[in-house]
Amino acid sequence: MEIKSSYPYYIERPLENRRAEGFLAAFEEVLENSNYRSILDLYSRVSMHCSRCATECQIYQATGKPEDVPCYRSAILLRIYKRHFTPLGKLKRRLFGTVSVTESEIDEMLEAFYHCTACGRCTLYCPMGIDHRLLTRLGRFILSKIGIVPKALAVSVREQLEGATGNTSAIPLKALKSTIEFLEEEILEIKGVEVRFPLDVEGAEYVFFPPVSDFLIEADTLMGIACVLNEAGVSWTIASGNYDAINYGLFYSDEVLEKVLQKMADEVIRIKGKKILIGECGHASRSAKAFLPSFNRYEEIPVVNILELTARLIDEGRVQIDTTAVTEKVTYHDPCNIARSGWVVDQPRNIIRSFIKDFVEMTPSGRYNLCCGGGGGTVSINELKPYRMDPAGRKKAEQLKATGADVVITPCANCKKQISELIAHYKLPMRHAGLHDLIFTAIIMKNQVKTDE
Amino acid sequence: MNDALSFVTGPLFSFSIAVAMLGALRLVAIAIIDIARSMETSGDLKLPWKDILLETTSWMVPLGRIFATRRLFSVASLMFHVTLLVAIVLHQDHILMVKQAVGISWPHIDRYVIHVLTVVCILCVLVLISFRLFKNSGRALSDGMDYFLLLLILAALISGLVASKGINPFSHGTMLIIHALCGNAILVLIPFSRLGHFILYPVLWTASAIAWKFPAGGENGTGGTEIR
Repeated sequence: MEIKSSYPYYIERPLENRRAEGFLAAFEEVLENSNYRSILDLYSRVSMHCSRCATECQIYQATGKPEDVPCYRSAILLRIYKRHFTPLGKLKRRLFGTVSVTESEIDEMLEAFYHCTACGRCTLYCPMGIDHRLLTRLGRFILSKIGIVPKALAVSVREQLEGATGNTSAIPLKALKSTIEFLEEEILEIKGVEVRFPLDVEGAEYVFFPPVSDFLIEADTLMGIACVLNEAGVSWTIASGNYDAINYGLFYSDEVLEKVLQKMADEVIRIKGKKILIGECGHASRSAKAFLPSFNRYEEIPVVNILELTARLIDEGRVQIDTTAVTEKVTYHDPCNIARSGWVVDQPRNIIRSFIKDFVEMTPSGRYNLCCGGGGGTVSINELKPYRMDPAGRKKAEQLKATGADVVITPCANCKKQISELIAHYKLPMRHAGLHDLIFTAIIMKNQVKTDE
Repeated sequence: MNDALSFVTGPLFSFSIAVAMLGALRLVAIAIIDIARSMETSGDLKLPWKDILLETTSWMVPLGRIFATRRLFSVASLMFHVTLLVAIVLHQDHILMVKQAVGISWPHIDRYVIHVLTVVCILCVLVLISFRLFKNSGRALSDGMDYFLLLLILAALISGLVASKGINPFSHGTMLIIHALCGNAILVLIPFSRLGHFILYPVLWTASAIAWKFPAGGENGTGGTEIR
C-alpha cells in the first residue's frame, strides 16, 4: 500500500527520520563525484539577493510568495553548502554548534525544488548569471539519493533502465510493431501513399528516438514526421532495442541522465547508425544534444532535433507543403529546453512561415518564452496537476489567450500534455498540435515510398 | 587625533589594501583552478563561448536590459556601481593614499564632481535598501549581511562627504577617521563577503556553462548504482 505522508507528491519509500543526516551524506557523495563544489562555492560568494529573478519568474508572478523566488530556493541549498562544506561553516559549527540542515529545510526543499519547472528563464535575468535551474536540479539529485523523488519519475526510469520493455511508457516491442503498422495504414488511408516506419535498418543516417509516449497519444506527430522523412528520401530508422528519447535524468539525476544516454548511444552503435534524431520533445533533445558528448563512450554521435531537419529539408525544396491547407490562426510555443539556449528558435518559425499564413507570435517568445508550467518533469507527476494549472500555468494560459489563436503549436511531448490540460482547465477557445501534426495535414506527397528493408 | 588618523590612513590602509588584493587574487585563482579542474574531468570541452562573452559583456553595460523590468531598482543599481567606482578610484585623496602605500598613481577628477557622484551614490544606496525593506521578494531574500554591507557603504559615503564639506557636527578629524575605518572595513571584507562579486564577475558565465559539463561516472554512473 502506498503511503502518502506530508510529501506534495507520492514517493515510494518515505523516510520517517534521519533525513537531514542522509541529506548531508548524499550531498557529500555528490560533491566528491562531480564538479558541483566549484559552482556552489562561486554562487555562494556572488549571490547578491537582488531578487531581480523574481520579476521574471512566472510562478512568483502568479503567487507572490517569497518561497517561489528562484534565488530564495537556490539560497536554501547554498546556505546548507556554506554551513556544512566551507571552512568558515565548519568553524561555526564547532564553535557554536550550529546545525547544517534542519528537517524543516528538507521539507522546504522537497517542495520548492518540484515547484520550480526548471525553465531557466530566471537565469537570463540574473546580473550574476546564477543558474537557478542547475541548483534546482542539484537539489533534486541530492534528495533522490535519500529516496525523495516523485514516484511517477522513479517508476518510469526503472522501467526504462531495468524493465522488460526498456522504455518509460512500458510499450513492448510487439506493441510498437502493431502501432507502426497501424500508423502506416492510417497514412495510406489519409494521404493515399505508402509510407514506411523503417525498423532496424542498419547503417541509416538517422536513428529516430521519439518520446515513446508519442506512439500512444501523438499519432499525427509521428505520421507527419514519417511523411517528411520519406518524402525527402532521408535514410532513417527506428531501433527495436531502444525507441524512447525520454530522459528524466535531466530533471533529477546525473546517474539516470548518463545511463539513459549510454543506452541510446549503445543502440545507435548496434545498428550502425550515424546520427541521433530526436522527435518533437524539448527535454529529450536537450538531454542528448548537451550531455551525450560528456557521457558517450564512442566516437561523436551528432544529435539533431526533428525541427532542425525538417526546416532544412523544406529549405532545400525536398518537401512541399500546401500553403492553403491550414487556414486557422496559429501561434507557437517555444519549449524551454530547446529554445532557452537559442538552439531551436528560428527553424520552427521558418517551417511555419513556409505554409501557414495566419501566424501570430506570443509575447514574450523565443529564448525569453514563458514555460508551459509543466516543465522539469512536473507534467509527469499527476498529483501536481492542480499546482501545474494554477499557479504554474496561469501566466501561460493568459499568454495563450492573448494571442487569439485557434491553434497553439507545441513541439514537445511534455508541453503538449500541459498545454492541452491548460486549454481544458481555462476553457481556452483553441486546440494544441505538434508542428508535424499540421505538416501531416498539409504535406504534398509525390513519391511512392520504396522500402530499404 | 592626528596619530589615529595617520594610523587608519597609513599602516591600516596598507594592511587593508594588501588583504583586499591578495584575497582578490586568491578568489580569482581558485575560480580559475576550479574551472580548469572541471574541464579536465568532463568528457565534453565544447563551451558556448560566444554566448558566454555576450552575457558577460552585456551585463557589464546593461543599458539594453535595465529598462526591461524593475526600472527604478535597475537604474539605481547601475548608477550605484558606476558612481561608487568612480568616486573611489578617481578621488584625489584616495590616489594619494595608494601612492603612499604601493607607489603608483593615476589622474584624478575634480572634487566637486566627486561630491555630486557621492550624493547620487547615497541616493542609490537608499533606493537599494528601500527595495530590500519594502519589496516582498527583496525582504524575504535579504539577510543581515546584505543590510550590513549596504549600511557600511552608506556610512563610508556619508562620512566622506560630510568630512570633505566641513558641515558636520563632529570634528573634521573624527569624520575622516570614521570614513577611513569604513573604507578599510570594505577593503578587508572584499575577499570574505559578497563584496567580492565584482572580482569574480568575469568568470561567472564560464563557470556556469562548465557546471553543466558532468563528468562521466563509468559503468556505474556518477557516484552510485541504485536507480531511484
